Amino acid sequence: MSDLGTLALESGDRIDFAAMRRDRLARTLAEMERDGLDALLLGHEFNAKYVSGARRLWTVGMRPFGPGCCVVRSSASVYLLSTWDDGIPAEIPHSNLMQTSWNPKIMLERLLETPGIGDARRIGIDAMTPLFAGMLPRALPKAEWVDAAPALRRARAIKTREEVACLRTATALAEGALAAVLPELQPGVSERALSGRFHEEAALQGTPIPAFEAGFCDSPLVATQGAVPTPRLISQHRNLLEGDVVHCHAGLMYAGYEGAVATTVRCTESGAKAIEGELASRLRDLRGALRASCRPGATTSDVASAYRACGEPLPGIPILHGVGLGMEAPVVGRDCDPEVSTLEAGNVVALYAYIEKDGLGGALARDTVFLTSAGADRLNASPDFD
Amino acid sequence: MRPLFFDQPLDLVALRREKHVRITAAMEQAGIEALWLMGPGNIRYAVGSVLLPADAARGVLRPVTLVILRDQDEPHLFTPYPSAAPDDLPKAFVHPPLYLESESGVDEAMRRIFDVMGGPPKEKIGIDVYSPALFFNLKRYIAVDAAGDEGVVDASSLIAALKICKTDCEIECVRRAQAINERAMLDIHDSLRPGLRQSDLSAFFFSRIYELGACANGIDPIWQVMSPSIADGPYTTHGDVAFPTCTSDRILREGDLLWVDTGIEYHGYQSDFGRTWLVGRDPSPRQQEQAKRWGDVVQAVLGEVKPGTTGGDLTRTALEAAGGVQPWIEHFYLIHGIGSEPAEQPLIGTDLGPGFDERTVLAPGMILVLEPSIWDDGHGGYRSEEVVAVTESGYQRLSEFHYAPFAPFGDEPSR
Repeated sequence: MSDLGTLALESGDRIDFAAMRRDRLARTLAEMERDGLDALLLGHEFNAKYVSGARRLWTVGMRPFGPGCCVVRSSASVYLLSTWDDGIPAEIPHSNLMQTSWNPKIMLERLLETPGIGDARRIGIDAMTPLFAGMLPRALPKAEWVDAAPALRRARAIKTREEVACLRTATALAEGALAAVLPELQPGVSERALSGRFHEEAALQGTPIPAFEAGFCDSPLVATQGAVPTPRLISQHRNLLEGDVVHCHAGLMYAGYEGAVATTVRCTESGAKAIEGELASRLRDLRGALRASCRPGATTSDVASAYRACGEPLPGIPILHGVGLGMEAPVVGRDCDPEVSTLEAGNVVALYAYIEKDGLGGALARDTVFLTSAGADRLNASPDFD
Repeated sequence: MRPLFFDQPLDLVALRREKHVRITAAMEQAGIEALWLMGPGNIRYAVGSVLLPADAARGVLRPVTLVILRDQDEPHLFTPYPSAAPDDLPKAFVHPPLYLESESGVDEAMRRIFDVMGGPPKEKIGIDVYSPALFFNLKRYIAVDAAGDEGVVDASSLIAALKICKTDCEIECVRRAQAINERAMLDIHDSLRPGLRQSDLSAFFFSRIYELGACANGIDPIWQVMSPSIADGPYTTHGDVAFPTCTSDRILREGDLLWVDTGIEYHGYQSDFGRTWLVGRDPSPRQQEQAKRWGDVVQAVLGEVKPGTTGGDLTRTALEAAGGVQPWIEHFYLIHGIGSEPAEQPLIGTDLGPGFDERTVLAPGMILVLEPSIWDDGHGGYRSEEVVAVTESGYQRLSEFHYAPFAPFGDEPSR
């Protein structure tokens, strides 16, 4: 798909969102069947969006768990906690909307009225709280409760054609928002102001939901001796200085899909300039090695080996994570998932390269890669800062 | 634009220590040895702003986790963002993040949590949120039934009870959050015109709040264009008004009636801004009259705000001031609290029921967000929000924003 854009075209839609929703629900139901799950109770918004396509109010961070979305396999139905139909796809009838409540008892009553929930023998959940852990098994004593994460992870890991189109569009939008901000990366501007400017540019493009807090962070020139090399990702109330090496890490959501960029630039009077010399060449080599290691059939350990092959220590951030409706599994690196997984055609992953050099600072870059049977297709462009 | 300047001093270090003492005292009283917190609102309360991931998925896969031990003077913060830990939290208490979404991740997380605890718990622990892998594997690590029984208690309700009455310092944090939010909205209100998109207004909001000193945005800013009649949609399950619906690139047109709602975070504390705006037009006499009725409800309720008043007293007062028609939206409330979460206790007028409202008794330090709304089906309605803190003898205002182009309190342009 080369015609990236977000306006409606009278000649036909760029992305067939109805097909995307249909395919995602079909993938979910197939994985439910494989794990013998009769129903799903989903609290996380990214899972609810995957199975339903609903556009509900975005709030910052993780919400407290509640059964905000149910999937019943026997009827292939999706039920949503929503008092209105605005943002709810047309294929979800009004009778499948559950009114929001402040009262957990009322919420539970409405849940029990959901056709198919009372009969479900095996129910998958994506989170839990002590409150619901006390209520749900008592209300549904015959049900066996299991972890829905493996089924959802398998469903979400293989991207449909439309999902890849969303991710490509999101990436282009994120690059555009960053490109608008980089000329302002001058001495005297604060890191926080740059974060706000990125989110402003993203919203001006019609995508106001952030993928995460944008970070424009000066890299300390002196590497942290003996410690794990870790870039700072959260902007501070600090003004940039001439010559600062700055990590830019920012992203937005298009139709719920994450488009993000990470790059490292130098702060100058005339705006951001590419880094040069040893930092740039080591970063380029590591990025190349990471991309080369990332192919269908490779394990997540193979990707970690790319760091070793380049003589770079593993940093304190994930070096690889799935990309879809925000960050997805697998999450690979120090203090991440200890389980090794195998990459497959259809995965979209972010690869993070981070290196440090004492006296020069650190350099960070991200590539977003779509794995196909033919190899790896990079979704990001940004050749200027390679 | 520069960060907003505040002349009142604010000692965030003392505030964090004071709350830690309060939490550990409550743990002592409840026989709880450790709290494992993953809920953003609870973590914000316990350690202040640690800039939690805006993306819910990062909140799950790269979580910030707080372990509070009854016998230790500092909490243990497991975070992917060590640079955003409180400056005064000793480095020995800042740890790399845990991974809780796989069985082997939970194995490793338990090893590391037990390491800071000096072994598995011997008494009860409090948890607010479980990952599924933690929920289904917990009984392998601690000698309790993981299904919500005696060994594990709900940490959220313990924290909720502690945070309902705010200290002066916490009230100052909410006041500042509110001031930053309102300053940003002033510029946006001035720039409102037909042809702008809802997402353009969000764009201006984002750049302003970061410049002014907000720690984070809290919610997708709401600029909902209200249909005059409920029948015009959106469909609602209860037949009342649909609000708040999501922002899009909808183009604003002259005469559009906007119900606006935004919120930000300042060092762990939230703001809540609510106003009714009109695009490119002055209000009709009928619209002014709706605003006046809203003002009457607010005046009447504020007249009762003092320690000892119950939530039931306030809902009755509001109902009477509105001529017997419930002046708030069915799925919401007349009043909600605000603090480390944008809506927290006290909740008044919700479906928790009249008995719950009667048992809610106002006390000094509670922060109340009054959000009545007036609706004349076929002619739209008026909704704004007032933020006040309960004092020893009444209340103090934490919001100062004007109501233009409406005048709910008569001729005064603002209060």
